Amino acid sequence: MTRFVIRRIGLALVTLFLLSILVFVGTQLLPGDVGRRVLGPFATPEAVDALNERLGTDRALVVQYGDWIGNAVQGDLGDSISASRPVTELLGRALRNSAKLAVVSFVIVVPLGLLGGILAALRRGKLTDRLITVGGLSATVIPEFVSGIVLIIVFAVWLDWFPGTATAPPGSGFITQLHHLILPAIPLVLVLFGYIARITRAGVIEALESDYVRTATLKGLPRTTIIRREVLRNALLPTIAVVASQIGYLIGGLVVVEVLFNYQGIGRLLFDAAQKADFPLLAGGVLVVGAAFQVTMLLADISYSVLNPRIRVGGKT
Amino acid sequence: MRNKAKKRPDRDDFKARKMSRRGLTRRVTLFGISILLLGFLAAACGGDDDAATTTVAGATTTTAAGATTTTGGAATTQPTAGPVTVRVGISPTPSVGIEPVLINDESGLAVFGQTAQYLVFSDDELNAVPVLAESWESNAAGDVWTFKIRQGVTFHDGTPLTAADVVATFNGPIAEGNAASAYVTFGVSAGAAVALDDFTVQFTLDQPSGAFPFFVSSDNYNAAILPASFWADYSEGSYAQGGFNGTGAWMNESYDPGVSAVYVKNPNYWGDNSNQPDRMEITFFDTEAAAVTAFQDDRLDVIHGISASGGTALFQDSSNIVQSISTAQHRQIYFDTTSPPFDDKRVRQAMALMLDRQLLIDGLLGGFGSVGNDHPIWEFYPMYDSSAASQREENLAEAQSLLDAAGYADGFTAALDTLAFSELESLAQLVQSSAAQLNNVNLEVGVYDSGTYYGDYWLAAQGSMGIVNYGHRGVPNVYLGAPLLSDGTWNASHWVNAEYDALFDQFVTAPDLDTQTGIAGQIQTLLNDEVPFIVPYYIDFISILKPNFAGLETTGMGHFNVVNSGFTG
Amino acid sequence: MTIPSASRSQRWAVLRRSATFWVGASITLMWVFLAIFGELIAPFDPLGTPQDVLNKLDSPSAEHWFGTDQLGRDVLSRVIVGARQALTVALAATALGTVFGTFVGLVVGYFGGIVDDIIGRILDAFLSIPLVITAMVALTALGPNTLGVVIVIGLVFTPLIAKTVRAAVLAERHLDYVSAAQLRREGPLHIMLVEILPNVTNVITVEFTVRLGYAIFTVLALSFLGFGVEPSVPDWGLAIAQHYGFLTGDIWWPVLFPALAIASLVVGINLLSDGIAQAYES
Repeated sequence: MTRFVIRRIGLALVTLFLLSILVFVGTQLLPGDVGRRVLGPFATPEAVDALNERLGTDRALVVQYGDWIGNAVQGDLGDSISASRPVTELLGRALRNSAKLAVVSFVIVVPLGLLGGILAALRRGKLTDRLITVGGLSATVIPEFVSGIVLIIVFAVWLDWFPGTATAPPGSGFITQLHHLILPAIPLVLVLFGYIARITRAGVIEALESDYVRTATLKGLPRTTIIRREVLRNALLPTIAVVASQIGYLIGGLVVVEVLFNYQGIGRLLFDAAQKADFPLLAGGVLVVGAAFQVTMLLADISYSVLNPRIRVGGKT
Repeated sequence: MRNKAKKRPDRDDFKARKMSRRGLTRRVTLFGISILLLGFLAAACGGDDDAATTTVAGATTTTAAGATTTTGGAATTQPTAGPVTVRVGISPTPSVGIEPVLINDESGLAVFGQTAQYLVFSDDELNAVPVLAESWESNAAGDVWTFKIRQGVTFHDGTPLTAADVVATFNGPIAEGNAASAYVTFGVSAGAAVALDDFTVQFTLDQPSGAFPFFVSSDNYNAAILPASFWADYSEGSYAQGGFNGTGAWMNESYDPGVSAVYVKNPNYWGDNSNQPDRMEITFFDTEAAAVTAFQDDRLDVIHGISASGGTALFQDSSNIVQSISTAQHRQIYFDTTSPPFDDKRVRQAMALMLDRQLLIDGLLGGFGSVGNDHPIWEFYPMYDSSAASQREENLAEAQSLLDAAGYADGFTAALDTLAFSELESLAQLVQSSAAQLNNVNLEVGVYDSGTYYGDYWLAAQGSMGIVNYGHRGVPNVYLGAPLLSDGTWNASHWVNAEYDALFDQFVTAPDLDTQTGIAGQIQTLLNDEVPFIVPYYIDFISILKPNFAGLETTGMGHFNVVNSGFTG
Repeated sequence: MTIPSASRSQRWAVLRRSATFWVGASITLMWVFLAIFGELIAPFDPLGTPQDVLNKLDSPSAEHWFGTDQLGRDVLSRVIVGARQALTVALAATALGTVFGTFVGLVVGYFGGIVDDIIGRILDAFLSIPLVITAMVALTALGPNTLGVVIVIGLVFTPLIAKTVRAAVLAERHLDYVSAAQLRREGPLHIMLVEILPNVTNVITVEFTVRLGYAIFTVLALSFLGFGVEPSVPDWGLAIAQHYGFLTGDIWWPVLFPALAIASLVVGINLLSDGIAQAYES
């Protein structure tokens, strides 16, 4: 067990290291030079060169990477070019906002997805099952900005039930904030619902067909008791892994949803950083996102293996 | 069938209201120009500077808050119970930090200008208005300029303003080529500023310039007067860290980049701010649509600066006040004049002839603009020569015959690059579809974010076209220098013309307005014929106010002032 | 080499009875048809003329069923012709990703060991950055044009497809026919391409159709974010990006119709690929 965890953490660290190189090199490939970006179009070439020298962007890439990763380990990701503020400060605020949106989405989608999956499994092959699986699949593949647009048109423009932006006015209370976050959460819910329902359905069906359920049924236990006691416990395990693995997707989805709903979250921040070629912000942001993804996957893997010892053998690749 | 003009009553009604505003602006502008002319002559001849400055100062109080609001600012202000807060929306968010050396966009200088002030303010009627300078004069040659600094002015931190601060500002980082985009490229080169006494500063120029007061004005937006101690310890970000110290009527209370900036009234302000609201909240919006939503939700009293297309939804509600001013802001559709097909003047003329300029103004600007004639000397500039170069009109037949004569009867393909900004993407598409009316002329439109565009496309044009934005200036010197001189740093056309270079020198050093107008006429004719770039139109600066709010003053450059604003009813 | 010919007719039998397959196939075919012959069907020139701008943002009417856009062009015509951009870019990107991914998957699966470990780690690192963000950074670097989108999506799909192919190759690697080829002293390239590849085509076909759905999804998300197309080219994602700012003014038609077109195409393709996947599974 310990060996598995240590090995898994080691792998995550190696991946993180590779990720940091990818991120750094990737953001260095962006066109234009840093000095020009900072000083704007109308600065003289001399001014641009002088600033580049001062910022150290004219040094060898390896040296710059060493500097950057050394500071990053100590929690310093440098200063944003476009906002002249520490990257960590900007990231912190954006992550808090995104977390709010993500929590609202998860609170809606996890119970719905589980319920849908269980229902589909119990009514396997019937109309309910087809509706949930085909409907879920269709909802999953519709891009967030498409469902988001339709939601805005119907619920914000035509019916005027919800605001068309996600950002509540400064100083708003919890209810107002929630009111603003429901519409933007739905596109994420739609995409995740299909996944979660599908995995839950498969898990429940597998459990229903397993020997211990057959035995319990033969013993004459009531169906609801069997489902509650045996099926759910075994079927929910894979769902945890799926939910965790969707963190990566979720952040990608946030980019589009936050742009569409004008919400100051991590996705919007990274989008702006890419648009403005704000190298430090983009590199820092992508690194944090990648690290968050790795950590979540790590925790999911470990908790999954604790709950289900069989996986450790199979997972040893 | 498809091209029949469909009229919308609301839009027409709106146009009608706007016309009256335009008429007034023109009258007021002419008034302002005549004052400028007086001041210009007085200054250039080394005459009585007092007379010039007082008249100029007189003009300022009657500015902006014009026609659509029925009466000017302070007059409509009624004291209401409790503290008065003005809520201003700005879009997009400033592209860089609020920082004297770095700011380079309208949003940035709108924020910067609340706390920091200039020696001179370049207002919306082309006046050079004394602010921290009380008065100025030049020698007879026009190459030595002396400014009297206003006494009794203190910075927010209590330090009094002296000539030492002015000298430190002009000799500091903004002049060292550190950045300061506006300063370096202003087309005037001055030696070091010298303090003659505690309240007198003198500049000695390399060549005479009648327009020098604009060089030390808000037109040169980096040159705000800040304490000598600030410049001594200057580093990037130190303006924000120091809490936006300055001499302005507003003191910064908080600044949250990309989100908001909150200000309180400066109790020790040197000027008359008896009607000033107690607080001002500026909210930043990434998109105009977000600002429009906030305005509709009553979270803003005013949106300062919005494009005609972005403001469409608000224009349709007739209770909102639309305040627009004519400005010299324009787009330049430039050609790479060094390689085919645009190395042939006739091809450039053909491209200029294929555009229906009024169609562009009506379609893209909702009528908020005026036609350009392929040179950057705006019709409201005092030196504009109305007799030079007749207005170019759409003429597809002539355009095609010019192409035929140039050997492009079978057309050509070229890139048309621009940046994602305001209506530029739409303009590029209309240029593209206009070109498609000629035989087989294909333009391939590329739209890039501003950093990429300016970094990779702007000056690198190879056999291609591009569209770039030029913001408003009180004098055309900036437009005529860097973008057009043979060795100009912004010369995207790579246009080399010795005749023009000589004309520019004469223009800048012209001893009086008549001479300058004569040279301006020659420049207009030359540019209109050579077409290094097309100037399709000039663009109005539009702000939107709530019906109960009055007294917003704006400039074409993006500065705004709500010191004389307030609420009615 | 060893694909049983009987399975093809069995699969077809399953497909014929699958309602999802038929619904998906008809939606997809409709859009493919419009992508090819769109200009002939569209009531107006989707590129419009300069004078159209005077009729901009007109609401749906008898003349313009879907209204007009910000330059006065007919929204219906642009929706019809817009299918071409989405389909061609997605197809090209998926094809590129499938070719690369198959090759990488074959190499990694066949050699295993240290190659597998190293490439596996790099792929993991790569995959922990969300697809849209990777694409955004890469497109800002490459230039936001159509070719860039094809290359970036193709490259991002490479590791995803490689993972699936690798798993399939691992299952084949120790089978007799591979050992036999090794005994015959065939080169590794020959074994991978001639011996193993034909036996994993099932997996690759399913993977291709599934990825095609994702590619359309991603292509349109990127054009919504402003990457990929020239502004005058009819493109659904771009149309939404250019017009969603007008929603505050109750101008919904230039946005809603492209959105519905996207929804129908992605759902159609996914129903189609779901049907095919089921046919292969059974």
